[in-house]
Amino acid sequence: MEATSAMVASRKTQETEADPDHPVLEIRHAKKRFATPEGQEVVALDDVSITVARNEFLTLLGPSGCGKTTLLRVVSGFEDLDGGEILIDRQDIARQPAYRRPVNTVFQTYALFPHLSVARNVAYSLEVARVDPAEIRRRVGEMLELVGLAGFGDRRINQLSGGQQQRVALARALVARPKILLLDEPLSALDKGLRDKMQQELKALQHELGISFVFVTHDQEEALTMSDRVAVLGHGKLQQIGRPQELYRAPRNVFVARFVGESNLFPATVTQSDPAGIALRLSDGQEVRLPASTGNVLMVGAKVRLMARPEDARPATGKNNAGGLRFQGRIKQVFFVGAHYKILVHTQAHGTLKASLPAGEDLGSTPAPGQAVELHFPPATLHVLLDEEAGR
Amino acid sequence: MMVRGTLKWRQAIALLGLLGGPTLFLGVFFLGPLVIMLIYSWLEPGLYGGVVWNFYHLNYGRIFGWANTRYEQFDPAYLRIFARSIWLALCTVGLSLAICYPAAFWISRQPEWRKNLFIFLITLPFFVSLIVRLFAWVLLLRPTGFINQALMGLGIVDQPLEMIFTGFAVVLGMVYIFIPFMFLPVYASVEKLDMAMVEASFDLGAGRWQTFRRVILPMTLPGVIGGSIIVFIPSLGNFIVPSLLGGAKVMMIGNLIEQQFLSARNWPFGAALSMVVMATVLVLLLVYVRQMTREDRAVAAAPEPTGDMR
Amino acid sequence: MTRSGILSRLLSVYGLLFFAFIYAPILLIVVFSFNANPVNMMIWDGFTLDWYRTIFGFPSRLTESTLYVESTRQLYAAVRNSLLVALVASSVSTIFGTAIALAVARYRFRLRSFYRAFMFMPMIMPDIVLGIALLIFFVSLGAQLSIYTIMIGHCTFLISYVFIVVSARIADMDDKLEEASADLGANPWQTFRRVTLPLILPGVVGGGLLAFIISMDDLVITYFIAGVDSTTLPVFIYGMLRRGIKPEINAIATIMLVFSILVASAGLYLRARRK
Repeated sequence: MEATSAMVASRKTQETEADPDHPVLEIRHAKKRFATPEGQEVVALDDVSITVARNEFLTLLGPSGCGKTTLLRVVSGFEDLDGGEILIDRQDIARQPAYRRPVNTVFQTYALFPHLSVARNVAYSLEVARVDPAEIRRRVGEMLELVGLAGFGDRRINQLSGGQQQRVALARALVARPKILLLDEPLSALDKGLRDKMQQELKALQHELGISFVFVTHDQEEALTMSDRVAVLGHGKLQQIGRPQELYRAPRNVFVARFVGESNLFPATVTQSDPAGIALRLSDGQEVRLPASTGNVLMVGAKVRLMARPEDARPATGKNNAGGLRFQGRIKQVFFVGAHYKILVHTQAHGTLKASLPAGEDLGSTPAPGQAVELHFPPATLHVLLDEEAGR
Repeated sequence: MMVRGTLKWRQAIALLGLLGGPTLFLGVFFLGPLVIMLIYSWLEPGLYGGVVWNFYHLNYGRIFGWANTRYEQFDPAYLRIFARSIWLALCTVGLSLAICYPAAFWISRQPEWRKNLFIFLITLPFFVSLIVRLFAWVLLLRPTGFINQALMGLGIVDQPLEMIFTGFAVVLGMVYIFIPFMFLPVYASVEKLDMAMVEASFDLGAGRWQTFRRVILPMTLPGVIGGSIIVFIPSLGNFIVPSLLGGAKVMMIGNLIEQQFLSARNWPFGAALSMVVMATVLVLLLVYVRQMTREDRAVAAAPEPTGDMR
Repeated sequence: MTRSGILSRLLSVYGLLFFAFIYAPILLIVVFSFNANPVNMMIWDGFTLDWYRTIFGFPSRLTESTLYVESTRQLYAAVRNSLLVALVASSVSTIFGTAIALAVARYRFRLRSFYRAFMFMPMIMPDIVLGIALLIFFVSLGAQLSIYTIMIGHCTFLISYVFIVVSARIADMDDKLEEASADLGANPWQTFRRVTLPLILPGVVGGGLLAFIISMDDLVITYFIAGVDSTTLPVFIYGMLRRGIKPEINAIATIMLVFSILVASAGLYLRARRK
């Protein structure tokens, strides 16, 4: 996609930033149930509402079976909703067949037509719409250039590598300029290096074309890297939707905390709650005071969980004992990951904790299994979670 | 329940378009005839052909032995013909299995391209007209036929051997036309046989016979049973082969049925005979399918070994 | 030589015998179709094309010297009927069989497993049972037995063969392709014309060819439902054989042999090429 930047320069795109005032796609109270072959009922979508803004890159993130692919199929028209509605540009499209919806999909397995050449694959949506042949040729050529496959038009699909097929699938889905592009785990079949490259290119492409992307993945790193906003789905429910930073820093519940990034979760009880802040007691007896958070008002005696990210752990010293949490334990395992050490620490009261320590940090010595350590999490890094997840 | 415009509604329209025509056709021209045949088999035969629309159970009675009216007597000949048909069909299954089993092993050990060629050569005769293939055996077996001419020419016999119009000729003819039916399923299971398992059996001290009985045979049994059923069914009801190679002497149930329609003109009795053939086939298949699904379930239900090896 | 060496040598000899058993009778017909001996067709008496000349209606020395010649007009009528029946029956059953295969493969519906099992019924039914069932059916409806009853009768079982061949082909096809086509704006008909049909075409053609051959070859069912003047080739030959064996049957058989081997090879070639 070397040609991309040149194309960007040549074309005047209207707006490239997500525009929250203009929702392109609105999913309202979507409900969908499936019957399993064993006769049980599975709730795939349980009152899910999501709005996608114009030019937005939204990612649906969740473990397999969380309903994200179902949501995508409902939008593209391959599944009916049992309840709720879907609006594109404020028009209800629930009764429209897939082929009338201004939505195109990049399939997980690409689903390229094996009997057609690369150019004919890309031209497909224009051909069925009976666009003028000269116009088709021009737009296909343009599109192939955009995805870096100029000159590949006459190739057969089975002569292409996985990455090239991916680009053809992208070009094919974009050539008709859909309002929304749906991407169903399109990078999962690529190897790591190629995946990273494609992530950047996808992001650049989205920015340039000004088309809303709805991207499905189970890879949280991918979701955080690429998206304007991420919607975390679990058990058929929308667990949280927000910017990547929000999700990471302030997950709304245990499910999101567990799924987005690594975390240590400590059960705790609220011992004091006033406008200035709250106090919590952990099971090992230590108390911590936190500033009041917006949103949830917590009652004294409420059971919550306290989340601490591994990278916020620091070796405890005399200097940094102003509040926060402290844990004494022994190092179980050490993984050197370049910029930092990932260590697993066994503690008496809380089992195994995860911590990652900058490689330069003074730990007395290089961390090694068996060493006694004391970890400290400053109060600002701690986050309170309600002790339940949505949908449970 | 079905709302216009929903996916379900659209699918229903598509299904109607795809299945409507064929279903109507097969309902009328396939199920219809079977139902009418079933009805006919319980009707009274008219005196001079045709039927009388009365319930009449003695068509079956004539076959199984409770007939005794003014016109017809229970004739054990019918049961005898039926028994002979089953016997000849079983012989056909046995002989074709004996021929195909070693051949399947031989072909499975050939290099890839030769395998494909051989399988092509075995399936090819299936496409050659049945009547042409049977005609060849008439030429070979009859008194003035090729084999007798050759044997007499060589001075081995001085009188033509009686080969055609025997049970043997009928079995040979059926084996010949049904060989692809037996070979392909047997070959499919032989091909899947892992030679390492045979070697393992030898390695563990089993002899040739033991290895065959305890490893090879059980592993290829599904193909053997499948092939046997596919050969048995058309053999049982066959009437072309016995009429060309068996003559009047070796009559099978198929010839008996044909007679009822084309010369005796007792259609209800012929229909009853057909129902018996069909019932036999269906029972056989039912047993087979039940057995297969039970085995599948047994395999699926078998607990995975979980313990560590110690 | 080791014991297993002897065994595998024996197996090879056996393999040759196996193929001899399959092909020798067929070759015999071909060879003796050129035999000049008009009295005993199994005693070689020199090369001749006379039997072929006879069936194509050319004068030959045999036309006068023997009484063996069947009416060539009847033969042609039988060939014509066979081709006509096979053409119509295989076309209709190709459409029906493909339609059922598509429905069963692509849609979830209540009767799906019923259809799948039902499509094997005509194949496992003994020919004679289906033949007489059709005979009773047509006669009790008062229908005149004719070339049309044969066509209908053939369709009832040919649909199954097409269904099986086409289903195998559809099973090889990625079902996401049709979704992709709809997603890109193609309506159901466009999707069928541009994606589904091109991809299953080898199976459809293969199934159609198979149906054609089986229809051309069918004897048992046709035997019962053929009208007086709608004899097909296999029934015609069957009749000839029952009346006594005449040398020109060799020539007819050889021509049929070549014809069916050509069609079958074309079909198998199509199937092999799909990979």
